[in-house]
Amino acid sequence: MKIKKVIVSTVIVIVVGIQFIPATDNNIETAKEKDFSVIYDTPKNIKITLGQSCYDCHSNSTNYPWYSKIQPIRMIMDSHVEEGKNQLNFSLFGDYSERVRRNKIESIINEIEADRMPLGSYKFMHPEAQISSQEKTDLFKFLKQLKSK
Amino acid sequence: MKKVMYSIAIMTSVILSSCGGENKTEEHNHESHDHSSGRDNEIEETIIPSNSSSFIDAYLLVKKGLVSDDAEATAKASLILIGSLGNVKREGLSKEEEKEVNEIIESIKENAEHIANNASEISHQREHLVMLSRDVKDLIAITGTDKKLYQDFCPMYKEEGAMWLSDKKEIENPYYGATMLNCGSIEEEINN
Repeated sequence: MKIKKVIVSTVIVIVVGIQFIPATDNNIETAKEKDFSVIYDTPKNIKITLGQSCYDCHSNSTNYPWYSKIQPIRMIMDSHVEEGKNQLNFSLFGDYSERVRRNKIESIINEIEADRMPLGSYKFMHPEAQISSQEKTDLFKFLKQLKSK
Repeated sequence: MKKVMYSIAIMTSVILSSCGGENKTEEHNHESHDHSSGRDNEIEETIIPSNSSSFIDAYLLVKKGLVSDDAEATAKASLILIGSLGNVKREGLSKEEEKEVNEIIESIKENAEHIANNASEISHQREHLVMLSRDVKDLIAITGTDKKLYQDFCPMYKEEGAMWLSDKKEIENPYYGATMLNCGSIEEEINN
């Protein structure tokens, strides 16, 4: 059928075409002193949790697995990273005022406690990003004592 | 037909390659402001009209919405709050105070945006009321209030409890609404 051929060809053209949309990696050189884990003397296990479950979208260094080179996956990822960094950027925590730092820390606790974060789609692609019950306990304990300082 | 398809594929690729993609080698300097406020995509599209309400009245409206368990009304009130921030009086403030006021206003805006964007999740709106209440109280400490206010506290909300401001003596709990309307007590009266 001619229509079938046209549709299939168009889809192929689009799928191939969108692979050429340029994308910039989110890997920005940032002063280490601004990072959350440097400002607050963060224990190793907490650093690991944050790195595995949060930093891809909420910092200036994102890890790009092989499948992220494929569109439209890359576009979806980029929009997550952009939105994530707008809401919270661990790499630039040092630029936040005391008021904002306190609010961000409180929000981190709220979001993880309510299971709104990490994003379900992110956890699906990165099973290691799941924050276990013990990790949550440790993380909240650490963050709460930061808030009270 | 083949020729046409190839040309379309090449043209599409060329067109798509030429859009997007900037060089991100600079580091953003956020020294004087918080980038994340004002970036909520949903609100950027809505033009928030500036209004003549005082931020205190607008805050009390947000609180009232949560007391009534009305997330929609709460979201609407938070937009009024954002619109009222232009009315904050800055006369007679020292440079230090003005800097502080600007910081607090940015924070109120961010918290109000979260509230406005979460008409489907009242629990999330309530989480931001905690932060919003701190901001509003701190702002009043610098710019004053035109009405008597009460600082109320609910010990049961989250581990550490939470505070809110009210213009009434009776306790109406915005963190629990109808489920625990009168839970809480007056901690302080704010007069100036």
